[in-house]
Amino acid sequence: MGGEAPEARRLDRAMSFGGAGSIPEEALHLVLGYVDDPRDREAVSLVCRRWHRIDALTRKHVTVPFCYAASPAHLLARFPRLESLAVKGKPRAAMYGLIPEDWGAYARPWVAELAAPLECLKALHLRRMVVTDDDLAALVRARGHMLQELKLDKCSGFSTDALRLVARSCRSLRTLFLEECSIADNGTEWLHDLAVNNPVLETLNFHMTELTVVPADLELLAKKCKSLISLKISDCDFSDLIGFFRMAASLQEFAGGAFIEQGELTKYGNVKFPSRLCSLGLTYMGTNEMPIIFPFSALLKKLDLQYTFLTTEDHCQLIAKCPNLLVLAVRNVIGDRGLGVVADTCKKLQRLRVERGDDDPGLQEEQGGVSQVGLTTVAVGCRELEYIAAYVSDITNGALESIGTFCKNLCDFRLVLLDREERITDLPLDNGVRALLRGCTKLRRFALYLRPGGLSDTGLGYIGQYSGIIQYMLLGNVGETDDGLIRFALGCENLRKLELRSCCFSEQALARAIRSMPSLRYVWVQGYKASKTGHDLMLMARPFWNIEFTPPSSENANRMREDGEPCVDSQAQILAYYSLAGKRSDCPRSVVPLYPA
Amino acid sequence: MSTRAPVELDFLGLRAAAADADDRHAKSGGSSASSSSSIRGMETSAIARIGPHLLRRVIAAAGPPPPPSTAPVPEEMPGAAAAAAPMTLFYNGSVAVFDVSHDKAEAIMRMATEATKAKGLARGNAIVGNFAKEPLTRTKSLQRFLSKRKERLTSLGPYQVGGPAAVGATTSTTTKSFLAKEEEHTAS
Repeated sequence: MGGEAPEARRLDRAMSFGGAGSIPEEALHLVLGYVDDPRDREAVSLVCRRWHRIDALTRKHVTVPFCYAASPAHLLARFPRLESLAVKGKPRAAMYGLIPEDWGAYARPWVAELAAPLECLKALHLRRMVVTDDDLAALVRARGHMLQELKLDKCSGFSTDALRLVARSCRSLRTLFLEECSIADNGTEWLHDLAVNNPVLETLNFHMTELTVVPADLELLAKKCKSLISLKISDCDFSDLIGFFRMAASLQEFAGGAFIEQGELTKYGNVKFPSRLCSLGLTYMGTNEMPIIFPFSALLKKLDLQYTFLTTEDHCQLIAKCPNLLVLAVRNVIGDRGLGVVADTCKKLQRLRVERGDDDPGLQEEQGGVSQVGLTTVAVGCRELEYIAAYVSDITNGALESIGTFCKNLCDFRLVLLDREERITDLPLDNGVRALLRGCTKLRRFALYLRPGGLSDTGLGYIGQYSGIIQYMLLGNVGETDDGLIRFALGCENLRKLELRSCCFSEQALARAIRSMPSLRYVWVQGYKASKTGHDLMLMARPFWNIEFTPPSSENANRMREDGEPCVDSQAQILAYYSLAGKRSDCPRSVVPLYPA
Repeated sequence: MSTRAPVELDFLGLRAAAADADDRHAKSGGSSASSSSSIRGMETSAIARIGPHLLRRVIAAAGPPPPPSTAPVPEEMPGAAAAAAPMTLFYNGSVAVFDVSHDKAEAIMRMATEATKAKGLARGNAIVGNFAKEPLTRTKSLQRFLSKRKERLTSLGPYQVGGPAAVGATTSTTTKSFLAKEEEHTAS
C-alpha cells in the first residue's frame, strides 16, 4: 500500500500457481503466518484459488465491520481455524441514542455458528449488539472451556445470570469486557464467582455500567487473580476500595469507583494506589480528592478526567504533574488554558479527547470551552499526536492548518463545532480543512461536524480530493448544495464507511455520490432532503447492495414540527451496505428494506 | 386511566391510512399511492404520514386511544378536571373532529403557529431551508454523568453553585440525597 505505487503493483502471478517455480504449500503457510494486516490478507486471498485457500486456513482473526454484511455460516466455514472474531452491530448512532433498541443486530445467528467447527476460537468481541442470556449460555456450552477473551462492548439484552455462568464455566478467561453494556442486575454473585473460578483473569471491565459492586468481591478478585492488570468498574466508593488496592499488586490500570462524600478529605486520604498503576480514571473526583494522585502522577500514561468534577484550574495543576501521558481524555472544562498546560507538559501525548460538557449556562465552567487557541497550542506542543477528538466552541482555518503542519502522525481526527456560540471567528473552513488533510497524510479516520455555512461546496470537494487513505468519515452540517456532495464523491478513493448527518443533500445526489465512491461499503445518513418514500434512493440499487430506509417514527414526530416544509423528514435514516447475506430477515417495523425488496 | 383518554374520531381513516403508508414502503415504495389512502377522492397521504403522528402525539393521553368504534359522542368523565370539547380541524380539504381538553387544544394551536413561523424563517435561508438541522447529541455515558453532576450541583444552596470547587463544601446530608437519587437511577 502507498509508496511507489505504480512499481509495486506490477506483481508477477507466476509464483502463485502450482508446478515448477511455485512457492511450496508449507512455505506459504509459514509466510502467511506473519501477515496480519487485514488489507494484506485481503490482497493475498485474491491472488488465486490456492492462495485463497491457504489464506482461509491460516487466518486467525476476522473483524466483521457490520453484522448483516456477511452470513455467519459462510464466513465461519471459510475460516475454520479462526482464533478471534469481532462483530460490530448497530450503527454508531446507537451510542447517541439515535437507533431504537429493537433495531436488530442480534448476536444469536453468530453465536449459533460458533460451536463445533471452530475449534480454535479463543476470543469473541461483539460491539453494539443485542446479546441474550441464552446466547451467552450457548456460547459457554460451545466455547467456554477455550474462551480467553469475551468482549461485550456497548451491548444489551443480558443479565448478571449469564455473567455468573460465564464466571463459573470459562476458566481460561483472561479478559472480560462489558463496558457501557446495559445489563439487568440480578445480583452480585457473578463477581464473586469470577474471582473464585478464574485465576488467570487479567482484565475486567464493567465501567459505565450500572452494576452494583460488593467491595469484598473485589478484594477476593485481587487475592485470587494475581495477574490482574486492568480493572474498570462501575460506581463504588473509594473508601471501600482501600483493601482492594492494597492487594492488587499487578494492577496497572484502574477506572471507575466514586468519591461519594466529597469534601471529606480524611476519608479518602488513606487510599493508596498500587505501585505499578499508570492508567487512571477516577469517577467524581473533585478538587479536594485530586491530591491523592500527585505522588505517582509522573508515572501516569493514561488519564481519563471525563467523569470528574475538576475545574479548569484543577486540570492545569494536575496535568502539569503528568509529563509522561500518552492518552488524555477530558471534558471541555479543561479550557484553552488547560490545553496550554497539556502542550507544555505532555510531549509524548498520542491521544487527546476533549468531550462536550454541560450546555446549561448555570452549570458550565467559567473558563471552560475549547477553541482554536487551545487546539493550536496542542498541535504545536504535542507532535506525537495520533488521535485528536474535540468538541470546540470556536474554530479557525489557522488552527486546522497548524494541525496539518505539526501533527504528522495523526491517524484519526474528529472535530465537532458546538452550536452554543452565535459567532464563529472564521467560517467557512475550506482552506483549513484542505491544509489539514494535505499535511496529515496518515489519516485513516476523519470526522467533521460543523454548522450550516461551516464548509462550502468547495471545501467538501477538498475533503474528497485530499482524502488520501481515509477509510472512515463522519460529516455533519457541511456543504451547501448537491454539487458539493458530488464533488466530494469524485475523490474518496479509499473511503469504506461514511456517515452523514444534518446535510442538505437530496436523495438523488446521495444515491449518485454513493455509487461513485469505489471503496464504499457502508453508509449511514440522517438529516437530508428526504422524500416521502425514499424513492430516489433506488438509484443506488445494485447487486449485493442492501438499502434500508427508516421513515420518521411517531415517537419523534415532535421534532418534525420544527421545520416548515412538508417534504422534510428530519428523522428519516438511510443505511446502505454491501452484503453477501442478502436481505436481512429481522427488520423491525420501523425499518423498510428498499433493496433488495 | 384509559377511560379518561380523549375520544378520537377517525373520520379520515387516518389509522388505516397510516398503516397503508407503511405497507407501501414495504413494497419498495414503488406502487401507486392511490387506493385506500384516498378519501372522497382526495389524496390524504400527506395527512396519513404527518398529520396523525403529530396530532396523536399531542392529543393522546397516557393510555392508548380507544378503538374508533367507541361511541361517537364523548361521555363526560365524572371528576374530569378539564372538560373536553370537540375541536374541528380543516386540513388539506378534509375535516376532522377531535375531543380535546382546553390545554391540549392550546398545545395544538401553539404547535401549528410554530410550524408556520418556522416555514417563514426557512424560506429566508438557502442553506437550512429544506432540511432539518439535527440537534447535537452526546454519548449515553456522558449524558448519565452530566445528569448526576447536575444533581450534585443543584442539591447545593444557591450561593454555592459556581463550580465543583463548591462541591467540596458538600455535607454528608447532601451526599445521602445524592445516593438516594443514584439508586433511583439504577432502578429505572
